[in-house]
Amino acid sequence: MNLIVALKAEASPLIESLSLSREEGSDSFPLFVGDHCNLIISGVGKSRASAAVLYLRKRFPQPNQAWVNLGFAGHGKLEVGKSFLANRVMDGESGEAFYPPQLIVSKIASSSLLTSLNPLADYPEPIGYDMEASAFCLSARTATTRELIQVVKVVSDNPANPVESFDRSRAAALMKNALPSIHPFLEKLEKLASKVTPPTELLNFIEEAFALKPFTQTQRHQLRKLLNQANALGMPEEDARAILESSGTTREAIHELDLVLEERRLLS
Amino acid sequence: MIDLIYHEEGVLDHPRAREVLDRYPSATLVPCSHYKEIFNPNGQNFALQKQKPSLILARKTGSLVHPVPPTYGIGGERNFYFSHLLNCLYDCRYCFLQGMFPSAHYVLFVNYEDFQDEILRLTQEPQEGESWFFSGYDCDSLAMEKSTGFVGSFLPFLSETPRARLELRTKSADTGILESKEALPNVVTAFSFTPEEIGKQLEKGVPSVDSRLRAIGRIAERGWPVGVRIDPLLDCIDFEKRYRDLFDKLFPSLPDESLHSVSLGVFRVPSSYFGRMEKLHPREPLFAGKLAKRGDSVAYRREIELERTAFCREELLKRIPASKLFQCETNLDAQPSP
Repeated sequence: MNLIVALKAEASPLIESLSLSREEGSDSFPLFVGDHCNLIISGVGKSRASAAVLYLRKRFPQPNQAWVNLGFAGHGKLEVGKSFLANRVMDGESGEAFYPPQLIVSKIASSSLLTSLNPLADYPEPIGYDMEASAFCLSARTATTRELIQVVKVVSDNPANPVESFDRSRAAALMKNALPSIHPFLEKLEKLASKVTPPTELLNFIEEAFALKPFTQTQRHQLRKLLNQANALGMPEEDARAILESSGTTREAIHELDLVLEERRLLS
Repeated sequence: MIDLIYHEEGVLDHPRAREVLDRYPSATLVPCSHYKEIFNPNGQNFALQKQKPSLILARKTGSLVHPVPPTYGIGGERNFYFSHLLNCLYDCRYCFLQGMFPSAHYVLFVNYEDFQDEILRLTQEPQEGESWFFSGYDCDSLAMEKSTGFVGSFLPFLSETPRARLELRTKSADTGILESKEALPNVVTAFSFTPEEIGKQLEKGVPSVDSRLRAIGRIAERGWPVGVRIDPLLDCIDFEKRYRDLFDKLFPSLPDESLHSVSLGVFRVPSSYFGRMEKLHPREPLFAGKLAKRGDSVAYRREIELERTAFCREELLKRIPASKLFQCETNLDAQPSP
C-alpha cells in the first residue's frame, strides 16, 4: 500500500502506528517504508501530490497496489476530528471529477471533496475541501485499478472552527485520534488489493519454467498461458515441471504440456 | 444492499427515481453530470466492483430499442432488445457482461415511458408478423424488480399493447410481481438453466434449480406463458447425464399449455470480451476449457459444440414438440467475404 500525506504533522502518527522507517537517500520526498506499506510526505498542493505519486510509482512499480491520499481537509458540515472517505473528488480548476468506487464497508463517513489550488476562505457547500486529492487521483489511476485509489481525510476545520483558528500543535493529536477508524479501512483495502494480485508462487514458477529451456519469446507467451491454465485446472506444479524437464526440445515441451492438459479441460 | 447511489443531475425529479430512493432511505447520494462519467472510464476492475456494486440512476437518451440479429429469436418476425438496466444481480462466471462493461455498477434508466413510446412506435409500423422485445440482454429482467419496478410498470402498458410481445429473461425465483397480476399472453417469462452442479460452480447468487422450478410452477398456474432457456450450454464431466437429469427435472413439472418455447444457446463470447473475462478470473477452469477462437468469438471447438448441441436437441425433442424448440444459429466458422 502507498500512502500520500501532505504534511509531516499528519504523517507522524501514521509512521508510528504502522512502524515505518525512514528510507535514506530518498532526496525528492521524505519516504517511510515498512513490510506492506510505503508512506511519502508530498508537501502541500496538487503538483506536489502528483509528483509524489509518480516518484513512489517509479520506486515501487508493482501493479495493483492500493494508493491512499490521507490527510486533513476542511469541511462544510462534518465536525473537526471526524474522518471521511471521498466518494467524489472534484478538481476546482479543471472541473474534472473522480468517483473512487466505495467497495469497503466502513464506519467512516463519506462525502464529496473539492480540491483547489488555493485555500478557500469559506465553506460554500456541505462537502470537504482540500488541496491535493484530485491531482492524487489523476496520477494514481495510471498506477493501479480505480477501486484501489482512495482518499481519506480528517476534518481539521469547518465553519465553526475556521482554518485560521487551526492550532498546528494539535495536528498530530487530531490525526492520532482518527486512526482507530482509519486503520480498519486500510486493512480492508489491502485485502482487496491482494485479490487482484497474481499469487507470487505461480509467478515464480513461471519464471522458473522459462529458465528450464531456451524458449523463444513467442514460446514463453504460449508457456505462460499454458501454465496459467494448468494452475486453473488444478495441475500440480511438480507435474508440469516434470513434463517440461522430460521433453526434448522447447517445442516438444509445450506440445507435451498442452497434450496432458487436454485431459483436464473439462468443468468438474 | 445498495448504500451508495449516484444520480445524474436532474434525474431525481423523475417519480421512478424517487421510488428507488424510498427503497434505500439510508443510501448516500452522489450527483454526477452523466452516468458515463462513472460507468465508462477505463482502469476499473469489474470483478472487484461485483463484490459491492453501487446503483447509478440515469436517463436513457438516443437509441432506446435495438434490432436483434435475425438468427436469435423465438419465432417472431421482428426482434428487438432494450435495456432499462445495465448489469445483473447475479455473478455468473460465463456472463459476457463482465467482458463488455467496464464497471459492475448497476445503471438504471428511469425513463421507462420513453422505452414504451419507442416500443409502441415499432409495433405500429405496418409490418407483418409478431414483434418481440427482449428485456434481458444486459440484465436479469426480474431479479431486481423490488428496486426497479420494471415489470410492474410494463405490464399495464403491454396489456394495452397486445401487438408487442415481451420476453422477460431471468434466473430469479422471485416471481411475486407476476403472481399478483392477471396473466398476459404477450409476456413470456423465460428462465435460464444449467445443470445444478455447474450452477453451483459458476452462478454466484442464483437460486437453485428447484426454487426456480417452483417459481415457474406458481406463475404457470396463474396462466403466464413460460420459456426455458438452456443457455449457455457448458461442456463438463458427465455432460450427458447432467443435462438429461436437468431436462428430466424441468419438463415433467411444466404443463404443456404453459410452455411457450425452449431455446438452446451455445457458449460464445466476442474475443475481446473473452480476453477481459480471462484477465479478471485467471484461475477459472471454464476459461481453460476446450475453447477456440472462431471468427470474432471464442466458443467451444466446433466438433464439441456440434456434438453437445445435437445431444441436447435430441433429448429435448423427446420431451417437447419441435415447434417449441429454437436454436440460436451461428456461423462462427464462416470466412469473411473477400
